[in-house]
Amino acid sequence: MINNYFLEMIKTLRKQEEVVLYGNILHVNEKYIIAVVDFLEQEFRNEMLEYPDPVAPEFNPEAALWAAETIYKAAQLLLYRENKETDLEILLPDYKAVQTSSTVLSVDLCLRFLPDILTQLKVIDSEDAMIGILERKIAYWHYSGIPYTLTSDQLDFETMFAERALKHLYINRIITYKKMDLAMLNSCRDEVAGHLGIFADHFWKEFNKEKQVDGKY
Amino acid sequence: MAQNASDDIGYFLLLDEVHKADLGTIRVWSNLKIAFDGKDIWVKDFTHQQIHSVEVKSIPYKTIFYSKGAKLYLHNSLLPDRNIPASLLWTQIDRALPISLPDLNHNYFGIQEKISIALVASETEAEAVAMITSLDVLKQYIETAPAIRLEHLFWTILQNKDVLLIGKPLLPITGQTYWRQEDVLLPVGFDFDLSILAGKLIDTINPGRRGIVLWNQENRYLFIDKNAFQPLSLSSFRNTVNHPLFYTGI
Repeated sequence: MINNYFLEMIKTLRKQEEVVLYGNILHVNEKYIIAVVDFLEQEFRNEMLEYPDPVAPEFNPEAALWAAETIYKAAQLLLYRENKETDLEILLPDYKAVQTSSTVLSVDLCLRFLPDILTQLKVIDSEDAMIGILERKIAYWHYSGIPYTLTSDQLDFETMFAERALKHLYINRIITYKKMDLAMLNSCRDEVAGHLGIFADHFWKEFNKEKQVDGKY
Repeated sequence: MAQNASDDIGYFLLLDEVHKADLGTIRVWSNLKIAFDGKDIWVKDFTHQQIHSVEVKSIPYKTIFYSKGAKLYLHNSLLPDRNIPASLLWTQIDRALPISLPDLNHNYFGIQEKISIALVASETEAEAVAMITSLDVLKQYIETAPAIRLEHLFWTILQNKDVLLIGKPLLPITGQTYWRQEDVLLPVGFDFDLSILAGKLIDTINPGRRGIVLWNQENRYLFIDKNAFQPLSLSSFRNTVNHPLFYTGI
């Protein structure tokens, strides 16, 4: 018998990248939160093996928990919607900590799945008020939102790119998802070109073509 | 149209039958005709270049004539020596001088004979697809490497200190590079001395193709199981060097 629905949902999300919901339970019991934070910290440590710097950032429990709750509630609201639109803001609060590699990567543990939920929401109802609320979060924590097409003027690259290692991860993800609109931004273009090096044509043909059309290189 | 004056001159070569074997070098010129006159051998239809070539000059005991009209003149002589020999049966030189292969010795098995396998410098260009480098060098690069450069690469550790990387494109770090012939990695610029036997050799040391054979310049090889390779990533690297069973002081 599963008691901790929140933990189970986050676990299957992280391990199998699937969402399993166990009934319409929007409220998360305080006593279950510690187990979730512990699990996320373990996941964070595993991911930090990929951190491109010898000194890995600290886990931020507050940020990770916020992202986990957001994704949990967003999934719930995607399936069972019994609340009024005015409740959505209260159910899905914003979290505006300073973007450091610690907070960004802790948030990213769960928030990286939000673009998929957003895509589903748009398929169901493109006028949904929840889309705007979630897009606002993903525009702030836009490292998690790279796969989702955001308008680039909303994005703040100064704090995001303050740390070299975080910038490095950001560029890696742009290349992984082959996001041309992000790669062509002034803040990113040189870095992306640097990452691809002389194998740009081999790794990402379209980027190489755009780069040459531009005539800057 | 005027005829080329030199075309009228034909060249003839006279050789005693005893020295027939010396014609072997010019047998490949298929324009030549040959005829046998008792103990004499006549060869004709040489071109100007052929008659002055090293191959002809190196035939001993020959006599060279040139023909004008029906007369034969000795080479470098203006006096006719004899008439062109008539009523000879001219045949193609390669038909008249057949090649005979030595008989097969059915009692010879060559069991005692051995061939040694060696690497020699090769002219053929081959792309490097593997490299050996040290853990330190790889560590320096990998900690700040773009993730895309590590994709498609596989790695394993050799003797607890060196790293073998396989895949394209290779990393921009120093190391000994190798090219791949089936499942054998050979140092770039080298190939087997008897490359025709490479397939046989690979079958012998790598039956079933279960591993990768790494051949080094000292002519020794290392057999590496294919399961030993892991996809290269920063976490794979860190997990390995931080593993309790792995002490290298890195």
